[in-house]
Amino acid sequence: MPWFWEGLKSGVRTLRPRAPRLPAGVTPGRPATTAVPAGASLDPELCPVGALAPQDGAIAVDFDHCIHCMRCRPPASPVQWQDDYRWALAAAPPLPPRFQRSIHVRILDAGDCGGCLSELRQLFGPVYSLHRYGIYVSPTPRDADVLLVVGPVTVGMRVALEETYAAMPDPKRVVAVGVCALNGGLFADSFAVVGGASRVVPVDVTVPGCPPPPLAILHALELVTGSSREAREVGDS
Amino acid sequence: MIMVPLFFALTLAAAAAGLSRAPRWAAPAGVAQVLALLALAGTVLTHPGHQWLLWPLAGWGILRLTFTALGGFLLVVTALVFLAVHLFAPGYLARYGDRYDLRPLRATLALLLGSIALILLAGDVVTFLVAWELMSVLSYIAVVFDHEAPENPRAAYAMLGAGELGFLMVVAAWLPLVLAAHSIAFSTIAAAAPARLPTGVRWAVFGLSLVGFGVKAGLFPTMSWLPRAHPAAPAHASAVLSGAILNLGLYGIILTNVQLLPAPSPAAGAIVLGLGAATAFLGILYAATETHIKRLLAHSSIENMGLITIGIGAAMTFDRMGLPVLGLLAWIAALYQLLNHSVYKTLLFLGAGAIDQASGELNMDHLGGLGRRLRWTSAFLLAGTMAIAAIPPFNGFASEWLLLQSLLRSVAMANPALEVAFALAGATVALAAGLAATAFIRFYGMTFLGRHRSDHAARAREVTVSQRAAMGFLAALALMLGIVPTYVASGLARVAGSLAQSRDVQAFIPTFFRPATLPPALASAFYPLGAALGQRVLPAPGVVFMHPSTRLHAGVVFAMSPTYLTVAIAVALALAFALAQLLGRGRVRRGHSWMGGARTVDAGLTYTATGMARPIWVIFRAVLSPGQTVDREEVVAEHFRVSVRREDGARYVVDRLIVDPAIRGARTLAHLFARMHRGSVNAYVGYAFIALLAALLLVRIT
Amino acid sequence: MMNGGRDAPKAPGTPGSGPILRVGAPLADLPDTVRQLVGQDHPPFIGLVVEHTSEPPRHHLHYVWMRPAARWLVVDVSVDGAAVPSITPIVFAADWAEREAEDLFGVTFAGHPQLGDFVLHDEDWAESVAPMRRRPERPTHGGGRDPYEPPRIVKAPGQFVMPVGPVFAGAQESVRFLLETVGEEIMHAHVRLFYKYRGLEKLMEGQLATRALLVAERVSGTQALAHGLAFAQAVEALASVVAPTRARAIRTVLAEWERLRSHVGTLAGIVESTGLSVPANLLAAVEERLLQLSGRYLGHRYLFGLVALGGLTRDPGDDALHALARAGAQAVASVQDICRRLALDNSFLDRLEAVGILAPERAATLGVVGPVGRASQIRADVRLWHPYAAYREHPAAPVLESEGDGYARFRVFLREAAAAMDLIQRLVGTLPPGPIHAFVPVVPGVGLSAVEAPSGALAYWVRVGSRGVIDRCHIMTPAFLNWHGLPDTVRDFAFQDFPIIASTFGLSVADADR
Ligand code: SF4
Ligand code: SF4
Repeated sequence: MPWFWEGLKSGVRTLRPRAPRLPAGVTPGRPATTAVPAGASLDPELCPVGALAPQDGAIAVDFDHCIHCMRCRPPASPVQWQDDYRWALAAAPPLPPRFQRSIHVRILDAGDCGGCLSELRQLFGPVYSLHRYGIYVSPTPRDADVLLVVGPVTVGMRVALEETYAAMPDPKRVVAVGVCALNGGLFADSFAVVGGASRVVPVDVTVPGCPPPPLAILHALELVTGSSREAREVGDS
Repeated sequence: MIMVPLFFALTLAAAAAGLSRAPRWAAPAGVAQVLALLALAGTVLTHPGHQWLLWPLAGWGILRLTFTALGGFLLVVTALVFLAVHLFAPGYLARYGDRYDLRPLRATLALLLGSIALILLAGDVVTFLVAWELMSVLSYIAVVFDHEAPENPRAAYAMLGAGELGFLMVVAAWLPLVLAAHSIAFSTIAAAAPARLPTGVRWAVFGLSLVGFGVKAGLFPTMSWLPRAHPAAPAHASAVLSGAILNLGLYGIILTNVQLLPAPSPAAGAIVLGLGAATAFLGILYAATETHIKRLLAHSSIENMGLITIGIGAAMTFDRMGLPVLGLLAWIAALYQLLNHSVYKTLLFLGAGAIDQASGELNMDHLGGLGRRLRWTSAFLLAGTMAIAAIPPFNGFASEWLLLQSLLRSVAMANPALEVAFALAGATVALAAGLAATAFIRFYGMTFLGRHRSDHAARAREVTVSQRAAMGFLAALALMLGIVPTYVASGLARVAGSLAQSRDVQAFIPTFFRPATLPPALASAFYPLGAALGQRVLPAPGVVFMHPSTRLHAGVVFAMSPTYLTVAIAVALALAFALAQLLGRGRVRRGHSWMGGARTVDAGLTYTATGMARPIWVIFRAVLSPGQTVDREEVVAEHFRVSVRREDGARYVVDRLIVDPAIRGARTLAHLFARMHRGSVNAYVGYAFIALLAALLLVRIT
Repeated sequence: MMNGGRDAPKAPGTPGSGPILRVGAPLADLPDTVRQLVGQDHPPFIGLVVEHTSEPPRHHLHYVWMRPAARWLVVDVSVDGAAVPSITPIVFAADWAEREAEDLFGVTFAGHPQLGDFVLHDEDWAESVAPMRRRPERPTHGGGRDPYEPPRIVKAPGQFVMPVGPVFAGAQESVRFLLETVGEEIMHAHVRLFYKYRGLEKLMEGQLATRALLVAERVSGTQALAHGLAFAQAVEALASVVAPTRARAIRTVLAEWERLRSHVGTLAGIVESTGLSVPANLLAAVEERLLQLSGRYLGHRYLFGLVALGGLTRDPGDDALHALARAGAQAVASVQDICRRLALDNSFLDRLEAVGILAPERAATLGVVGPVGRASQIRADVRLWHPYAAYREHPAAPVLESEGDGYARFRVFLREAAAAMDLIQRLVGTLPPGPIHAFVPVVPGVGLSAVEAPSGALAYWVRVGSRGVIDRCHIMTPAFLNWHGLPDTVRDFAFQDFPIIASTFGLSVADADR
C-alpha cells in the first residue's frame, strides 16, 4: 500500500508522443537523404554497410541496411541527420477498423542482440505506457493480433517463429523490428542465421533502425491499427 | 413373505451355478438372485416390524429375522450394487480366466450377497454374528482371489485380521446387552437393556461397538486395512467392498447405539461426529495425493464413510438435544450420502476395473489420454467424477449440501460446545468437498485427458457392452438421484423416521414444497426464491426443503433445487453450443497445442498426477510425510549430478501414529512378560513382594 | 601458416610482452598441469579458446584464467584427433567451454560426462557438423534428430519435466528452461541456451577488423560498449598501439555509464519479478531516462558506434560529458531513494532474502563472475586485477557481499551503480585534452583482451591474419559463465521463485549464445 502513495507522489512519467517537443534522446535520429553541395564528396568507404549511395546530386540512404553505426554523423560527413522517429513502412493494409481501439501484441525474439528487445521493453514500460492506446502484450499467441519479430531469424528459432505465427488467429499482422528482422542485418551472412523474418513468415510492416527507438516501433503499431495518416494512405491504395 | 425362502434358495442356486462347469448360467443366476433380493427388500420395506422365527435357543430366546426399514433400505442399496457387479463381472473376469479357476469366486460372490442379506435381516444377536463371520470370511476369499502377486494375500490377511479384532470388540460390546436383557432378540434387548445397564457400562458398549464396527466401516483409527485391500481385490470385489460391505459397519453402529441402546448422552453423538470428521479429513487428504486409482478410491471411501458418520453423529446429537426435526434431516442427509456413495463408488471401482482391463495400468502417473480410446467408459466415469466431486446436477451435490445444511443448524441447540463441534465438522465437510473436487478432477484429467504417458495407455481398448451397461446404469442412477432429491429425501424420510428418537416422528417428516399444499402466506415467502418457477412444467416437487414452524419448533428451510439447476445447466449448455455454431461456423481452424514455440513435446513434459497433487502435499506435509523424503544423488566426474533418486518412506499416518506404536507397545509388553518368566528366583520373590504390598495398601485404603 | 599455441598473444596495457603467463602442456599431462596451477586457489576460469589449422596438429586449445593482480594464465595444448582429457573434474567452470568446443570443433573430451546437444541443437544439426573447423564449405543445418528428448536426471515416482520457453509472454529473450520436478519445487534445472546462436565467431572470420568491430558491438546490444572495447583493445594490443589518454578516459566514462544503465535495468527487472509494480515502474522510468541521456549526449541510446580501433569515433565533448554526469547523478539519487524504501519493504525482502543462495565455495566451483560472483565473495574484477583504459589511474571502488542470496546480488547491483556514477564524476572532472584516436596498423598475430563488462569479465581472443582480416575471434562472455551457475542456484526452490532468482542474475541470453 505505501507503494501506491509512492506511485501517486512520483507524478506522471509518461511521455506524450504528439507533444510539439519531445525530450532529446528519445530517438537517436538517422541520416537523411542529403543534397550534396557542389565540390563536396562522399567517402565511399565511410558507410561500412554501403547504405549511402550518391544519386542525382544527392546522397540517398538505404534505411533497410543502415545499422546506425554513427560513422556518417555530422560533422564527419556531409550527410544530414534528422531527429524524427516515423520510420516504419507498411507493406500491407492495416487491420480491420475494429482493431483501432485495442490490439494484443506478441513479441518474438528470433535471435536479437538485446538492443531491439530492450527498446521494446522500454516501449511497454511506464514512459511510453501503451495501455492508454489499448495496446497490450498478450500472454498467449492465441489472443495475439500482432507479432513483433526482433533479431535475425536463427536456425534455432525458425521453428519457434513458425509455431508462433501459426498459433495466432486471423486476421494478424507481423512487424519486423530492426534491420536484423528486416533482412538479417549484419548477421545475414552467418551460417546459423536464416535471414530476415520474411524468409519464414509474411511481414506486413517494417521498422528499420539498429535498434529502432520505442517511438518508431509505436509508429509501426499505428500503421498496423490504421490510426495514423500513412496507414490510411496504404489502406486506400 | 415367500421372498425370504425364495431369496435364500436362489442364493444357493446361484452359488451352485457359479461352481458349475457351465459359466453361462452364472450371470443369469446371479441376476435372478439380485432381483429376488430387490423383491425381498420391497417386502421388508412394506412390512416393517415383521418377524420370522427360525429356531429357539434354550433360555435365551428364538433365532429370528426381523424386517426393519433401515435393513430394507440397505438391502435395496446392496441389490443395486450387485446388479451392476453382475453385469460387469463376466467381461472383467475374462482376463483372469487363463490364470485362475473363476468358479470359486463366482460362488463366493453369491454367498456373500446371501450373508449380507442375512446380516440386514437378522433379528437377534446370534444370527447377526454368525452372518457377520460368514460375510467376513467370504469377503476375504473374494479379496484374496488374485493371490499371485505377493502383496495381495498379505493385504487380504490384514483385512481379515482387522475385521476379526473388530468382531471380538463387537462381541464384548453386546455381551452386557444380552446379559442385561437375558435375551438374544434385538427387540427384547431394545426394550429391556437401556434401563438395566449403569451409565459406565453404557459408555463401554458405545465405545466398543463404535470401534468394533468402525473397523468394517473404515473409520478412524482402524481404517488402514482399506487402502491396502482395495488394490489387491479384483475391481468388482472392490465395488462390493466399498458399495455394500462398508455400509454394514455403519449399520452395526446405528443398530447398537440407536436402536438397541440409545447413546448415554449428547456427547456420544458429538464423539461420533468427531470420529466422522477425523475419518473424512484423513480420507480425503490421502485421496487428494494418491496416484494409484484404486488406493485413491479406497481413501475416498474412507472419506465418504466419515461424511456419513458425521451425519449419523449429528442426527444422534440433535435427537438427544430434543430437536427431532433437525435430527430427522441429519438422518436423511446421512442415508442419502450413504446411498449416493454406494452408487458412485461402485461406478468408479467398476471404472477402475475397466481402466485396468483396457490398459493394464492403475497408476495415474502412467496413464493419460484414455478418453479418446475409451469413449463410453470415460463418459460414464465423468458422471461418476462429477457425482463424487459434488458437482451438480449429480447426486453427490444434493447429499453433501444437505449434510452441510443440517450441520449449520447447530445454533438451534444453544449449546456452545456442541456448536463448536458442529462448526468444525461443517468446516471439515466443506474442506472435504473442496479436496474431493481437486482429487477427482485430477483423477479424471490425469486418466482420460491429455497425452498418454505410457505405451499401455496408448494401446487401451474399450470394454464389453455389458460392462458399459453396468457403468451406464450407475451413471444414470447418479444423475437421477441428483436431479430429484426431493423425491429421494421424502422416500428416505420414512427410513429415517424409524431411527429418530422422537416418538411423534411422523409429524415432523418435512412437507415438501408444493405451493398448493401450503398456507398462502408461507408459500409467498418462497416465491422470490423462484419456488414457483416452472412448477407446471417440471414433474418434480420442490425448490425447497422445508418444514413449517409449529408451536414446538422453529421452521426449517433449505433452499435448493437441483432440478431447476439441471434445467438451467442444460439450457446454458445448449445456448453456448448454439452460439458457437452460429458464430464460429466455418471459421474453426485446427492446429496443434501451443508449446512455448517448440514443435514437439513428449508426454514427459506434461504434468503428472503426483505433480498436480503436490500443492496439497506441501500444505499437509506434516500429516502426509513429515521428514520422510530422502534425495540420493549420484555424482560423476566430481561435479555432475547424473541422477537424483527421491525416496519417500512415508507411512500411512494412522499406521505411523497409532498402529505401529500399538504393535511396538504390545511387543514390549510381551517382552517384559517373557523377561519376567526368564527372571531369577530373586526377581520372582521381588514381584510377589511388591504385589503383596500393593494388595495390602489397597485393602487399607478401601 | 598458423602456428597455433606457439605465438604469444598480446594483451592490452603493456605493449609488446603482454602480461600473460603461458604454460604449454603435453596432452597427457594436462590435468596434472592444471591441478598444479589452479587446483589450490581456484582463480576464475574465463574460457577455452580452440583454434583449428589445416595441418596437424589441427586443434590448439588455450585455457584462460584470470588471477588476482597477476598475469593472465593461459595453458596451451595441441591435439590431432585424439581425445583431450577433460579438466572439468578439477575446474567445473570449464564444463560448458568443453561442451562448446566439442560441438563446434568436434574435439572430444575424455571424462566429460555430458557432451553432445549444446550449441548446435540436436533437432537442427547433424551430429557430424563441426562448423568452426576451417573448411571451405559453409556448414549447413538439417538432418538433426527430431524430436528432441530432454535429459532426465530425477528419478522419483511421478516426476516430470516442466518446459518453459523458448518463447515467453513478454519482451524476454529466447531460452528454454527444463525444470525437473515432482511438482512445486525444482529438483533439477536444465538451461537450454543457443536457440539464438548466430555463429558470430564464424561470421567474423575473414572480415576486416573494422567490420568485425561492428559485429562485436552487436554480440550483446545492452553491453555493446564493453564488447566493442574488448575487441578494439585486443586488436590494439596486437599492433602495440595504446589509445590516447583522452580516448582512454572517455572510454572509461562510457564503460561506467553502460554499467550504470545496465545495472539500473537489472534492478528494475528484479523488482518487477517480485511483483511490486510501482517501484519496478519507477526504476524502469529511470532506465529510460538514462537511455535518453545516452541518446542526447552520446549520440546512441545503446552506445553503438562510439568505439573505434585506436580510440573513439567521436569526441562527445567536455560539455556533453559534464551534462551527462550531472543528469546521471540525479538519476542515481532517485534509484537509491527507491531502493532505500525497498529495503524496508518486507514483501520485497521475503522474496529475495535466503532465496537462490550461491555459497562462496560453490560460486567459485561453478565459476560465476561479475556482480553475481561479487555477491558470493568472488572478488574477480578485470578493472582491478588487470586494469585497462583509465582504470589504473582511476581504480573502481570494490564492492563485495558474502551472503550469495538474491538480496546480496540486488545490493551489489545497487552499490555498483552508485560506484559507477562516482567514478564517472571523478573522471569528467579530470578529463585530459588531446586526440581521441590513434592509427592502428595491421599486424598479424593474436591479441587477448578483457574488460569488466556490466555482467562480468568479458574477454576477446583475436587472431588477425596477414591481410588484416580476422582469422579467429573467440568471445568469452560473462553470461556464458554465469548461466552455468544458475541451475544449481534454483535447486529446491519453488517454481515461483525461479523467475525471481533468474532476474537477480541479470543475465543476457544473446551474450551467452553469440
Ligand atoms: S549510420 Fe552508419 S550504417 Fe547508417 S548510413 Fe551512416 S554510415 Fe551507414
Ligand atoms: S537491429 Fe541492431 S539492435 Fe536490433 S537486434 Fe539487430 S543488431 Fe541488435
